[in-house]
Amino acid sequence: MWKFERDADYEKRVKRWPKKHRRELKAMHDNLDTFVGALNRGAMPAHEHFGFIHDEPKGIKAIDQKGAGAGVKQCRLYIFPDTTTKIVHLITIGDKSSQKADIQYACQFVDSLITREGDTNG
Amino acid sequence: MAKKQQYASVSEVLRDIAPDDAFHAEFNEHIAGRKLVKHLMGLRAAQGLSQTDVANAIGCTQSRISKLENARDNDVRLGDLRAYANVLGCDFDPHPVPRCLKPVDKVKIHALAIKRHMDDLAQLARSDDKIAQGVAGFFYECFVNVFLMMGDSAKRLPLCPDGSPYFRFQIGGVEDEEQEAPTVQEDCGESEDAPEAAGL
Repeated sequence: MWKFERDADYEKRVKRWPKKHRRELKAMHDNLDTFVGALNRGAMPAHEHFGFIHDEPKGIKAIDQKGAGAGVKQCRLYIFPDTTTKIVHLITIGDKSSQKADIQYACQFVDSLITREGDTNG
Repeated sequence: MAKKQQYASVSEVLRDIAPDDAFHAEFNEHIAGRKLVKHLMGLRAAQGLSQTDVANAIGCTQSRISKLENARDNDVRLGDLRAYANVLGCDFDPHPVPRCLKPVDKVKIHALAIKRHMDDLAQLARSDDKIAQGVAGFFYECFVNVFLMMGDSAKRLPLCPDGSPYFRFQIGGVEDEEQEAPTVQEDCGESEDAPEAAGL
């Protein structure tokens, strides 16, 4: 079974998520639940067939707010499903305005994660 | 570097960081209301099928499948779920379970179902020596795995007042040639009717 780990940036941003965008926050996590449910049933992270998932560099996935209904803000939850450890890392969360910086942050996160795992495995 | 805490579900992830308690409750309710739909979506993705693939197989539009996948379980037509499951090579067999059923009865229902399926396999094994060998191997594997699962659940039990476990599960010296059965050792457990007596 896949497990989850939260990055500090994700924790900070979720806690401060604006009240007026609750629907988006709920929808992104609902979609995350669906995605990980599929992984637990044998789906490969690289071969997902969900409209709410967007591929980013380094195996990062951006999950959007599809399903939240009309008139919602475009948001993304950045995750990294690590197939070696079967851990889904929740990296950060943001909207369109922070997209570029969020992806950059997520890439750095994955780089440092891979380095750490490399060190651990010798 | 300290090991990060791991979470088994999205609900657990959100428990202590959701913007407020109401959000967490609302989220759990939402997820619970989409269990069946999410299950089917997971199976679809695991088989590498797209919404269009499912729609083509059923003979409907992709947008209808999209609508189904965004719906709550209560709002989906049974016929649509059956057709979707059929495309995935699954039988859709909703069997209602009485809400008043006690947890121990639920375990018994599943245990009896396992026995029924194993009896079917034993019957099948009579037709051919090779099949019999395969079924026997599976029975052993099944026995050990079920035993290990039960052991895992037993580890979650609280301890006796004296600090010892109520009973210990132990598998020892398992060899191919000499298959030693797992043993259950009761330490200070009650009688086997204890769960009923406790009203479980």
